[in-house]
Amino acid sequence: MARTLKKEVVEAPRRGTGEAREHRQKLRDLNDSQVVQASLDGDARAFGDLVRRYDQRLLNFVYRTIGDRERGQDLVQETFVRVYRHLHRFDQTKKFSTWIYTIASNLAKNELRNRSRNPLVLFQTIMKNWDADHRPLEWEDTHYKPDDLFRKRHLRTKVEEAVKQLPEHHRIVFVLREMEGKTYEEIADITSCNLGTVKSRLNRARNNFAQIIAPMID
Amino acid sequence: MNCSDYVDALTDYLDGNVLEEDVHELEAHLESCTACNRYRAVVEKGAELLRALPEPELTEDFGPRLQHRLYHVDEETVLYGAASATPAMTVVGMAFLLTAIAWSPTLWQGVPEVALEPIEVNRPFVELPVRSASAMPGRMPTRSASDFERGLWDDAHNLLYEYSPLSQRYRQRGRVRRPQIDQER
Repeated sequence: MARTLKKEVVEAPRRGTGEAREHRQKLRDLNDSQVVQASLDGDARAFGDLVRRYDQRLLNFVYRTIGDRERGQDLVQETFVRVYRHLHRFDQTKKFSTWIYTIASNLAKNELRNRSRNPLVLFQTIMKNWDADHRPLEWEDTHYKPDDLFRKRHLRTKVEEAVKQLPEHHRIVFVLREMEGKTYEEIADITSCNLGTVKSRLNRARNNFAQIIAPMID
Repeated sequence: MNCSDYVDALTDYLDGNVLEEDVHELEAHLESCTACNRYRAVVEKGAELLRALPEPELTEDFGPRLQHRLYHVDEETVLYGAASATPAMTVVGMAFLLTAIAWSPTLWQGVPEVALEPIEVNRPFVELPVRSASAMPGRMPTRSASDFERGLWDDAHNLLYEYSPLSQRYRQRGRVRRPQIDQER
């Protein structure tokens, strides 16, 4: 690896060995900043640990922002590639999570901008109900009644649609706060806005969201 | 506190960014207002539903694909990363050197002085003949302005013929045919 070529190579223990497990555990006990440093020092497994920490969270964030899982996955990949390429430039006095979310957020924004320029009908939109209609037969779950299941699924779909209906800049703030649990300061850093803007966007997003889903909630 | 104030403050309230006395005020309003009570319930329930949404799962090929891409990033870095800085510096250095060489005579010897012939200003000013626009070919000459013009445009047809492609053509033909004429003689 380039990084390991430039610097002194810290040999990663072989996969599957007890030593490797121990090493992995050691990495898990470190905080983000320490893992970043380990990666910069040439630890071959350190970057993998960063991926493991953030892949699912980033996919959730990007997917909720752009509404397309496949594309979301591509953007998460791109985020990691950029992080890998520019890790040496990362200011370690800042939070790594904020940095990686900023990159993902910018990619998601670009994606939405490109889509608005070149509108196309997503395959996913056409096949929205495919899963429900073509799902193989399942054994009956006695725990739930069909009505409950239907209602739950319906509500879930409506909630997802409600998120998609929010304006882009409100949606990003809303998802970061409600789903990712980011603080106002972190959101301000990620979206390059000031705290006042974050607050007002979040308030409006919550208000819009509540208005959309209010008829569905008893 | 009215409902509008309550809605404005709800975000701060839900995120725990409200002062203690404001909390009491908000809760007091909530007890007396059914609409705000409902609004808060919807916002909280909405957030709850949102967090309960199933997370999209990564496909199995996510890891291998990412590894493959990172491998190419490494390759790029090895191939171009270290090497790219050196040629850039070399090119800049060469450009600087060439510029220095090109400018070196000027820098070392200063600006060269060129001795021009002195201009004689005692001689009386002679006005050069200027051809008027009306005397151009294709226009009817109204009146000759000077001897020079009269001499030049007296025989306009000959002049036109002289400089026309036709005369050039005849001249060419004559040149080509001359050897034949010599043979006849």
